[in-house]
Amino acid sequence: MMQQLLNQILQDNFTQDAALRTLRELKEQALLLLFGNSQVKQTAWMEGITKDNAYEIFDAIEAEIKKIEPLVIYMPCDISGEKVALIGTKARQLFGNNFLLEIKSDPGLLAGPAFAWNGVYKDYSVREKLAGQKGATLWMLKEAIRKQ
Amino acid sequence: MINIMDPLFLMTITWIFSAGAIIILSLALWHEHKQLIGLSSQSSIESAKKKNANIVRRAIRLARHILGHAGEESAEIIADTKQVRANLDAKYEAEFAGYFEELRTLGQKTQTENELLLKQKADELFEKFDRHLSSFLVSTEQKSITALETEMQSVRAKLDEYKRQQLALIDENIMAIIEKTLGIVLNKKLEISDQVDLVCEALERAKSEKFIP
Repeated sequence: MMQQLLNQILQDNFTQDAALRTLRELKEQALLLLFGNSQVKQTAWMEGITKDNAYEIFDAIEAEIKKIEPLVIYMPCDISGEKVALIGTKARQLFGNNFLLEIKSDPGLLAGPAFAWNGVYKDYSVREKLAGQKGATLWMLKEAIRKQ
Repeated sequence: MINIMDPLFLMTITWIFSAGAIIILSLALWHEHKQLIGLSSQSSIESAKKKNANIVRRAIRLARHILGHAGEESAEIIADTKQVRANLDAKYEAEFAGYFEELRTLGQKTQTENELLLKQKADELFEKFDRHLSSFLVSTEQKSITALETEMQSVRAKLDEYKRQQLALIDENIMAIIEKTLGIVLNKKLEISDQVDLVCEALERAKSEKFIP
C-alpha cells in the first residue's frame, strides 16, 4: 500500500520538491479525514491508512522520497511545471521511472543546461562551449576587426 | 800610541843611550880611580891627580865624541825617517789615489747598474701595472655588460609578462562582452521550448557520456 502511494506520487511529480509538497498535501487530507472533518470524501489512495499507521506510512514515504538522489539541472531561464514535466519525462525515459529532478536558475549559462549529479558538476551550456572555443572566438573577432 | 818612526822618539832614544854610555864610562873611571887611590900612597897623589885629570879629559873627549856621533846618527836617522816618511807618504798617496779611483770607478759602475736596475724595475712595474689595469678594465667591462644584459633580460621579461597580462585582461573583457551580448540576443531569440530541447539534448549527451548511468 505504501509502495503504491509512493509510485503514484513519483509518477505525478518530476521534482523532489513537488513530490514532497504533494506528499504533505495528501498527508493533510488523510489526517483531516482520520482525525477531524468527516465531510472529506475518502479516496482510493487512502485505503489501508488508519489512525494507527497514518504517521508511520507518511513518514516512511517521505524518507523514501528524500532517499532518491535528484539530478540538479541549472537553467538559464525559469521554466513552468509543464516544461519541467517534459524534461522529467525525457529523463525517466533515459534513466528510469523513479528519477527526480531539482531545477535551479543560472542566467550566466546563456543557453542550454548544466547538470550536477552526485556532487559532480558538468556544464552543457553555450557558456561552456564559448569558453572551450575562446581562442578561436577571439581570433575570429580580431580577424573581423582587421578586415574592417 | 807610540810611533817608532817618529823622529822625536828616535832622538830621545839616542839621547837616552848616550847618557847611559856616559854614566857607565864615568862609573868605570871612578872605579879605576878608587883602585888607584887604594894602591898608591900619599905621595903619589899628584901623579894620580894628573892621571885622573887625563882620564877625565879622555872620558870627556870620548863622551863628546859619542855625543857627536849620536847627534850625527840622530840626524841620519831623522833624515832617513823623513825620507821613509816621504816615501811612505808618496806611496800611500798613490795607493789612496788608486783606491779612490777604484772606488770612483766602482761607484760609477754601481750607479750605472743601479740606474739600469731601477729602470728595469720601473719598466717591469709599469708593465705589470699596465697588464693589471688592462685586465681590470676588461673584467669590469665584461661585468658591466653581463649586468646590463641581465637587467635588460629582466626588463624584457617583465615587459612581456605585463604585455601578456594586459592582453589576457583584454581577452577576458572581450569574452565578457561577447557573453553579455550573446545572453541578450539569446534571451530575445530563444523560446522556452528551445531551452527545453537543449536540456533534452544535454540529457542524451550525459547518458551517452555515462555522466548519468
